[in-house]
Amino acid sequence: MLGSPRSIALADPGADVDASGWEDVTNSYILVVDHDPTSRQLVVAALRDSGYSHIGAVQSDQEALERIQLGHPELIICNMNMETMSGFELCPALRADQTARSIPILAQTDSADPEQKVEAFASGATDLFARPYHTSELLFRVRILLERGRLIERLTAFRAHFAEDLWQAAGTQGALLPDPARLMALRESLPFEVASYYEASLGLGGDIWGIEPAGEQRVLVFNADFSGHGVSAAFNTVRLHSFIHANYRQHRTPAELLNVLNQFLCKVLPIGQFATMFCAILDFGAKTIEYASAAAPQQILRSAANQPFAVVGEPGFPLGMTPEATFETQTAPFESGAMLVLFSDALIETPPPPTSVFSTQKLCQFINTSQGGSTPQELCNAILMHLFDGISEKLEDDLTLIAAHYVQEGQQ
Amino acid sequence: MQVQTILTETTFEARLSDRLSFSDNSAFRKLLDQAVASKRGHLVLNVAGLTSIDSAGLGMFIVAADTAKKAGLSFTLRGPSGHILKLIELSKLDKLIHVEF
Repeated sequence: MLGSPRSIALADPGADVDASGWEDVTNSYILVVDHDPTSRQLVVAALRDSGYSHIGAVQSDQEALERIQLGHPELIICNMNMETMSGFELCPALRADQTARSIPILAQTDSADPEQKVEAFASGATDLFARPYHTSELLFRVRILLERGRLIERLTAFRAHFAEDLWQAAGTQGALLPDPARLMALRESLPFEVASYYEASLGLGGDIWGIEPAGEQRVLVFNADFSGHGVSAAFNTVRLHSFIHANYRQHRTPAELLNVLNQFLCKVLPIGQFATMFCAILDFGAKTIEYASAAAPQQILRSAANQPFAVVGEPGFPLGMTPEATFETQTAPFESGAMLVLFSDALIETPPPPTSVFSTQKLCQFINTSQGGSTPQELCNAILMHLFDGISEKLEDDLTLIAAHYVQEGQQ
Repeated sequence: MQVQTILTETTFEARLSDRLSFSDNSAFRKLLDQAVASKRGHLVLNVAGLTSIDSAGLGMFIVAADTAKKAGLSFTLRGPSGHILKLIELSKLDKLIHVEF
């Protein structure tokens, strides 16, 4: 709901402020902890005179901890005393408490002695004021800590809300990918088995793949990767998915599909955004594969059971960069036992070059020499295990891996 | 992304090194603002020092060429090698923007 009051509030984690730029925080709950009655009363009076109305006052650390159990204050003002050890139990106890550790503590020290200041900070104080103090200084420090606390609270709420939104959007994006039931149905009508893996680096991703019926004994398999990651790239995958569903005609060749997609994306994508895409039509009647590439990494194909895997794909313009781009369809045998391995660039660019686990050539060599087994799932598992064994960091880019297999006659 | 800028009378040259990726988007756009504000007639993006780019990095080359064109500057992408060169060849980017190999 772009432009709704709610989205504007989420986009701006600021607050209403007065003409001087200060937020009204006088309704904050402040707990004053001070073993010295006179000192305690002075602080409470200063706060009351400044408009704070929700003030608690206790004389010991133990009392403070009990009071905090009943309700968290937004600020604790604590008199730290080395002789009585006041405050030196409270601060560490709060910092060790998962639910109360973020409450700011404004510590009052008996003097400007640097050692005492260090001790107070070391035990968990957020800020200090030293006696003798000017009331205005105390009140400014109180206000700054309260404002900061509220800002953190708003940002935390914003982050939680955003994470929830992303989680839901990731579910929506996941639903764009071919669902297992649909793949099973295809398996029943064609000698065709598919395994896949998809991981978005930022929850949402710019990768999308799909399978569409393409006529008698023919299926279209495609894998596209939008530039960038995250929300904007994910929006583009929705665009592509919708366009293919609304516009795909079964008689189109892969190059014709790339051409119409390119014209569409040139109209809707801003400068600098584009997609790479590899699409193929597997024809189980003619026993051929037709494929075309729009700047996708070279992919890997085994044309028959007894053939080695080989690298396929020609250079081509990415989609959405220039309306003058043209694409070409290549044709190759796709016979019983054939396998097409499609992947996004994350597979061959993790970690980033030149130290990537795989290049296309290395991947092809790995598959040819792999003990990963003969099914698409076993092959994907072997590739992924090798990749993830070779990296220590999180994926920097969205990762898609698909293995589409022409199941050998007699094995269906 | 690390950047070193070199100004001559006619040229704003940005020498990029390390990796150019999605997370550099904001810094890269500021660099382009600087290039336009420098009022030189020629923008050179020297990428000889880059070790790798991602797809967003490739998109930034296009944005740079477009920014230069709109500001009336000539544009050159200079010195791609290794991974960057492979991606330029794969995407035929040299057919769209001026690349000096």
